[in-house]
Amino acid sequence: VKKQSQAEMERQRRKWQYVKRRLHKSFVNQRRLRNRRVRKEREQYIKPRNVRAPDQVRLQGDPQPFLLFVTRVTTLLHAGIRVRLDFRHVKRLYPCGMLLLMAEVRRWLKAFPDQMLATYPEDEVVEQMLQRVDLIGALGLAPRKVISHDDVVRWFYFTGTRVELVSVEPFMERVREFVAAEAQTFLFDCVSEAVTNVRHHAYGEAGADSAPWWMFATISSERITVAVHDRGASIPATIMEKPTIREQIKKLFAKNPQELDARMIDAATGGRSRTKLVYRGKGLPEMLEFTRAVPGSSLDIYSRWGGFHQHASSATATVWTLSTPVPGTLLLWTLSLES
Amino acid sequence: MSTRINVAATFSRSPAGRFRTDGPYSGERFRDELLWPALKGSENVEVDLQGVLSCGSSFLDEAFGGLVRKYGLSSQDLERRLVVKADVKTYVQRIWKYVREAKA
Repeated sequence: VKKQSQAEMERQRRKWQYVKRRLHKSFVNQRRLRNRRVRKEREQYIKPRNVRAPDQVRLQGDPQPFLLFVTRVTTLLHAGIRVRLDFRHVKRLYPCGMLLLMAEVRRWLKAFPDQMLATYPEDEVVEQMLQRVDLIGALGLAPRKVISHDDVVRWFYFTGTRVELVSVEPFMERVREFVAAEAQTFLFDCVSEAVTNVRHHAYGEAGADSAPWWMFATISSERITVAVHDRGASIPATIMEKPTIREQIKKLFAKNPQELDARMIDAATGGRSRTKLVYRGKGLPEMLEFTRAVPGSSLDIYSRWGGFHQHASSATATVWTLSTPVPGTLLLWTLSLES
Repeated sequence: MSTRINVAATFSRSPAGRFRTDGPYSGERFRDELLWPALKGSENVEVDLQGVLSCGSSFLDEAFGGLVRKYGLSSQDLERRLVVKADVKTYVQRIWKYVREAKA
């Protein structure tokens, strides 16, 4: 009986040890799994995600790759993920794309200060350009180039929150060396109105005191290009603050509401304004009038989902719907020097 | 008696904006601080825009059209008393267009 009892006790002890071992193993496995999961999650947030910038940073022509890049970065940052802007493959920067990129990067840095990294571009001119507008430094990279390339030296960048163009005067004088006084004043009257519109409409009355605008301008042997951008409510949104009955009906029955944006921009260039005051809303119609009057000039407007293009040689404007929305409004004037 | 206002020399080479809140060289400020006092003190006023690099329509409309809207001057009275000189002809044409379109 004693031997049987001892054998039983031994069996029970082994069984208990076996259970203990299993429990321990299970616990260790669980801990290992949990650690792995935590590590993975941590890596996702700490290890930056590489987002490749497109070869051509532009809105004219094919804006899709660049707008998708902007959307992807914004989405990742909002999800709390660190992002590395990969500029290695960028081959060319256009004023409109550059302006939007600068505004976006400033906004990202302000909203997500610890989530942004960047790589140097492989292209020499692109790196000089990013360094000239201080994006290289702002993104935490050390400036390593001497600004010497002609294309870079002729690029001008301005920003402000009020309608004050004193800082732009040296550029205006430079433009006067290339074109007649009429064409130069035409261009800067348009710029002046664009900046006034930012102040009056883009950010609403509450935000008017800190209404930033950005301007990019360039002179080459072929053309003068000026782009003005704001991050406000967009032209379609400001017009639809006080819609006419016809616009309300159109919005109600529209199959694709995004298509209305291009029509709203078209309406704004025809004199439709948020204030509905007879003496207001002259800016965009006059920009259109000047564009038609000055040979070789063109005006492009991008606002939310809407795109608008008018060339001096064309009697009518072209409007279209963008596949990815542009935040705020971007106006681009081009003056061909050959004409 | 005649008064001459040289905009580029006494105000700005790039006046812009409609209201004072827009910026330091707005149409409202030019009208209230330079143009209206000159019109009050002189029978004839000459506004010289020569040398100005840009002048947006908001500035021009508020500065000149605003004389009709705010001070109740008639377009006929202004056409008789006001002379505008500019390098760019369209400025003169636009100013008179804004004055005629403005309603007191």
